[in-house]
Amino acid sequence: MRTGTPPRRRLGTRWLGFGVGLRLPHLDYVRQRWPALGFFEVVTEDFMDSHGARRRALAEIAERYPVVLHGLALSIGGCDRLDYRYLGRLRELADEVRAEWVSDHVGWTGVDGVNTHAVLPMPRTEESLRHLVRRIRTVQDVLERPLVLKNTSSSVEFAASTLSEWEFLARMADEADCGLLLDVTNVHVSAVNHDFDPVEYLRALPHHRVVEMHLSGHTHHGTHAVASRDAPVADAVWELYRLAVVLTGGAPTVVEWDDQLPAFPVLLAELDKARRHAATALWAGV
Amino acid sequence: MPAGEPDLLAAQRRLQRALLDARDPGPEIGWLVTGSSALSPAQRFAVFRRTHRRRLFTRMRELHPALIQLLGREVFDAFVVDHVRANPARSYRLSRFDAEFVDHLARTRPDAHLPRERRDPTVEMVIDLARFERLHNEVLDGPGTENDVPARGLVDLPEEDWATTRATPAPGLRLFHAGFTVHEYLTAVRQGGGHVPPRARPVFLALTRRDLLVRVHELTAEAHRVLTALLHRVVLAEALRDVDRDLARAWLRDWVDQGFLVTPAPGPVAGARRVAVPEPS
Repeated sequence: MRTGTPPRRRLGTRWLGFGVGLRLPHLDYVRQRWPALGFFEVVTEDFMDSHGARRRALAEIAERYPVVLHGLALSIGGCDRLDYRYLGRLRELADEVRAEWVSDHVGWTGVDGVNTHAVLPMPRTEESLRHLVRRIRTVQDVLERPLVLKNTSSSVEFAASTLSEWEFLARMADEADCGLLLDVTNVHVSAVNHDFDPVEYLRALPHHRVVEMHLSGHTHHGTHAVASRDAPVADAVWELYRLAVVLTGGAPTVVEWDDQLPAFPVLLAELDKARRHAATALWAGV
Repeated sequence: MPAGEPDLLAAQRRLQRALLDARDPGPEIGWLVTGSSALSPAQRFAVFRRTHRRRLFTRMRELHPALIQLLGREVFDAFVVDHVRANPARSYRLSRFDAEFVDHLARTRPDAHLPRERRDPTVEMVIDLARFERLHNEVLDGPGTENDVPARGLVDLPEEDWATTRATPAPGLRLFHAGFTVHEYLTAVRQGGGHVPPRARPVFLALTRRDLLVRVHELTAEAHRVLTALLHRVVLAEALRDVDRDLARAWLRDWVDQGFLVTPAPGPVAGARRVAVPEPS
């Protein structure tokens, strides 16, 4: 069985295969070995304001691989004004590396001029939806390329939320005409923390809008889970990933690893696992 | 707005205040966030706050590997938390937050009230190391010397022209001085060492970047003084006034070779009368 849209041309984006979230300590390794993989995803803010070594290294990488940008600071759900200087620099970087798409998170980083250096959860309400949709459309107009937004994980939910997370994401993506970055680990972590069925979550998303998927390790603490991104992908997440591949028809997939970063070949090994799970899912339908 | 629906801005303000507040919000947080089958709202919020801090620590640790080696993670993290509470970040740029972090360390040193000569040298060492790592990161992200044209004309410039000639420093050149060998310590940490703290010794350094490497050059105190003057666009004759002429020429040659002094890019320089440095024919 194979459902969902074929793995090409989602919102006009290309099928890039399997990639790695590039972290700064791996820059030298990549430039020395040029490892075989489909694409690199880079953290926008690691490079946006650099006019030195990092930016030069990224330019070299972008000559050899497709690059997508993944930001932390857009604050698309925030109530402060959109930062047009940030957007200008983001567009400049995206143009420079010919970014296939630009992604960030469904959330906000601060309010009243404060930046918490974290992506914080949204209250899932009609008001939040209207606010998000309006700002996503503006950002897409400025960037002149699809904005792809990632589901976050958190240990808290606003008491005022009236919509489920999957309903909120589906309506946001449809009404704003944007892409989704489906972080499968975050779905699992949120399901543990917020007592919902992750399968129901995955089935309810608009699968044709899933432009990219993320996989990473997490930590289960018994009473809750944290997307710690410091370990290999867990079996429960692989299981959800296979379902997500079947439902979406497969989307470009990135392995992320942030804390206790291992040697680059460890990430390549995780990527090989992702390839095998995706192939199995598409072949067997599970 | 439908009845009962929250105001988004109010909700965000309340969550942010609770997140950054030093005090535990207590059970009142249940008005803002929900509990789960396993945890109360207060317990879930405590996890949320710990996770937030952990991510910030991770990013700050990347900028200060040597400081963490010196202090240990626990003390370093406590300094970061203290900084966040005192000075919430206003920019998405972590480099700006880090610059303020280094200033915060210097401002809040426990012996700040004492005369300089009675201050704790260990505190001085910590601040020197934090300043050096900050500058090292700044140089890494700043302009490199790859495309600069060395100011070869300076090397053989007749001495009578020194009174009207100002050297042009490379845009990415930075100078640094400290009371401890923090540069050697950072190198040791990067090579897997750093088990012996920096030694107390005045060090005078120049930092540049070429390709992906920051180059750290140790100078004498006198050379550092002269180079500082040149960076401030003092004419050569004034900057090199008390320096032996052979030594002065050797320094100029070395600094040109190292890419510290470059041929000025076309265009006016505010506040200084630029004198073209002739290229050798």
